[in-house]
Amino acid sequence: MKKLITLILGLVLPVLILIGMEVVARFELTTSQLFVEPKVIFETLLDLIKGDELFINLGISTLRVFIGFVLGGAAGLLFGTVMGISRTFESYVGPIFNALRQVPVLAWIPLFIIWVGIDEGFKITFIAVTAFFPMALNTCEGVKGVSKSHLEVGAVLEFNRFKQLSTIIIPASLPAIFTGLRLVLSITWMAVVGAELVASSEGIGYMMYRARQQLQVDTVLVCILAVGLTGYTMNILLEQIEHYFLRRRKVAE
Amino acid sequence: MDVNKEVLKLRGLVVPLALLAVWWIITKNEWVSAVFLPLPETVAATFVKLFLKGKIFVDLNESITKVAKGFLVGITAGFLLGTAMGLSSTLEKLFGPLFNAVRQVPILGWIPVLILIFGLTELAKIIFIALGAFYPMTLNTFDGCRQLKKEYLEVARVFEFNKPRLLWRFILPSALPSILSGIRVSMSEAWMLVIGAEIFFKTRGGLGDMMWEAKTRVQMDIVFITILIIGLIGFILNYVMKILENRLLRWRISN
Amino acid sequence: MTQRGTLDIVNLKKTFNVNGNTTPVLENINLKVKQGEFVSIIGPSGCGKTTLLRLVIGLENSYEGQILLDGKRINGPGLDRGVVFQDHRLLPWLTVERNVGLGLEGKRNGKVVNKEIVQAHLKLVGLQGFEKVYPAQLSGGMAQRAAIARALVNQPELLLLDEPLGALDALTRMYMQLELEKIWKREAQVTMIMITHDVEEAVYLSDKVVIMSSRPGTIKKIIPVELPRPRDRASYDFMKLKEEILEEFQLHAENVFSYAI
Ligand SMILES: Nc1ncnc2c1ncn2[C@@H]1O[C@H](COP(=O)(O)OP(=O)(O)OP(=O)(O)O)[C@@H](O)[C@H]1O
Ligand SMILES: [Mg+2]
Repeated sequence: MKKLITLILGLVLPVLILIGMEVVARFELTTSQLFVEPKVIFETLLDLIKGDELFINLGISTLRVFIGFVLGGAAGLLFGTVMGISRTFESYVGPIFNALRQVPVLAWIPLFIIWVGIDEGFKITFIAVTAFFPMALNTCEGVKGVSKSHLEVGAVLEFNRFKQLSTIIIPASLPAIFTGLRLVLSITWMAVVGAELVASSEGIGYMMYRARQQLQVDTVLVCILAVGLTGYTMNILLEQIEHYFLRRRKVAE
Repeated sequence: MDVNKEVLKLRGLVVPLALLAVWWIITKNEWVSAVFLPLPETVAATFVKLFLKGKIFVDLNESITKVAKGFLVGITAGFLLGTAMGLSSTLEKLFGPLFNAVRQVPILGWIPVLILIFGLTELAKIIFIALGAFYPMTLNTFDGCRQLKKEYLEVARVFEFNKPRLLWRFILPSALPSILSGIRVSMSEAWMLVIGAEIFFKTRGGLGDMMWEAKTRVQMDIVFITILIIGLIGFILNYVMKILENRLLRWRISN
Repeated sequence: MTQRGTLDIVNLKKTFNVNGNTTPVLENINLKVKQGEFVSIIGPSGCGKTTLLRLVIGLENSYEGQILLDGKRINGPGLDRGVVFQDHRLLPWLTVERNVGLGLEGKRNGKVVNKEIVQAHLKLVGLQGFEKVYPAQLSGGMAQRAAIARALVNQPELLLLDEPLGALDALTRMYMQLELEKIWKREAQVTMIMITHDVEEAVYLSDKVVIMSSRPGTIKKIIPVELPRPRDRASYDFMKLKEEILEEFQLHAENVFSYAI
């Protein structure tokens, strides 16, 4: 019963918006050709689902995110771990890392375009760089946050560096690493749209860009829906993975 | 093992200086075309020239005005929605699902929609920036409003506090750390998005446009300088917010 | 006409619902407290002391029986009762001064008067000079004293203290007992009810020691303490009374033991 009320309350606003749009359409309150009825959006949605344009573009974007995510994420993980463990390493590269981190990611686009061009390389580089910084930062903080007493356990047991890392440091910083991953996922997903908006001839960002130029509001909205849904699905997937890895801790608490 | 602070600071300079040296050697020997990597001194000279000419202040002003407007609109809206949802579970159930659904769309995805609705106008850009600032502000405020521990609520009951005073004395102060970090995150988000807006909406004026122009004309020195300035301003904004946080949250510091 | 600050608990029964099961926590509680009396409640952990206090505060509202303050049934918390929680519960974002003045905020006394009242109470607990300090900067004993001042500011008829000194070290605790006695003497009208785990503390401070036993929580015995004040902890009578109370627990423990066999 309570769940039902929650559900209904959550649907109130979306339904109101749809009704509002329908009313505007019925009574022809606007002459703007930009305005589309909910029905039209729905039809476009069905059309696009039936065809493969949407899925191809979505697939391309997802692949780009995946590659950039893996490359940037792995680099960030490695960099962050080393920076978290070694004070010497941190003292050398920490300041420049922090300086570069201050640059809003979108500001790198022009530089990368000049250096790498506007091909696939650009998109991957850009996405990877946006993934790198938050990943490195979160990992580093996670590793630094490993409690002294846990490390001392390792020291008492005379673990070597590798053992210390694999049995104590990495597991203990796993929650922070997952926080980083979640952050990275949403940032890379934004980055791919950005990269495709400025320089691409395929991908969901490009599809939106083209639809916008052709004033196809319905297509743009469907693309938005698709992007949001894909991002959301990936997020859930990541959450499941996190849940799987951290499940034993939850019980222990 | 203990290296003192001075040494640590000096070490931080090693990598940047080495990079500078490499850069200088590469460009001096023309191993890389000056188009892709200008001489350090060219960049320095351009930097000085830009500031002397004063055009950069116009762009700077443009970007900052825009970000200020979008940011203020975004955090105000975020604060209101965040408190509303934090204080009333009915409102949370009403707004929460829509908010969370809309939030799933990467912010840059809204650009085509905004352009379609509002055209390439100032308003479109400000809404875009405001939207970016709105999400983290809402989330943080919402979170903050639920920070108040049950124990303190009992204190409020013992002193017969009414709703407004409960809000003012208990809920908002306990939410303040969260709200302030929301403001800080929103600010850096807004600062990134103003650059984004200037690039993606492809309109005149602002640092983002200056950068994009430089890219089109392959003026690498200007690209470098704009990145530097943008990064610097981002840093300063963040730093100022941190100081503000420390001042306002003095009560958190224990002896 | 009942006097200000008298508490009358008659046939009190309290149950908690946990996962659909009703467990009795307090049963058959009868207690009379006169104006200006200092009463200690002592009993094994989990016997329902805090629950009893929360009922008197008005934080728990469903119960059977009667809790009467000055002859009137208690209905929700009120400024006529001051509370000192075990964890001092000072608001970390307010200075000591503001914390102590919390109860005055709704009153239209004017700033100057409020300030004076706060000052007087800070003096009472010996915290002058710490007005602008935040709770995080106070020691445990100081925080507890600030909490006492905060509870007294509204001139409650009844001051309820839940293990106010429980978290303190032995020396500070002894010192705070002296302070508490001083405060109680100066605020002669105030009735005080204090929960404690410390038998010596109870004997030192109280006019009456209420001994509770658990499962469900009932009052096992009420022992009046008629030693002259200031009390001498080393005196024979003091020791004897302490022994007597400790005995109660001993017996209780044996009972549990034999029951187990
Ligand atoms: N809100 C609640 N819901 C269910 N059970 C509760 C609740 N509060 C207390 N209890 C139960 O009531 C019993 C008495 O709790 P209470 O906190 O009053 O004990 P206490 O005498 O103050 O113990 P201590 O000396 O450890 O503070 C305990 O068994 C506790 O588990
Ligand atoms: Mg208790």
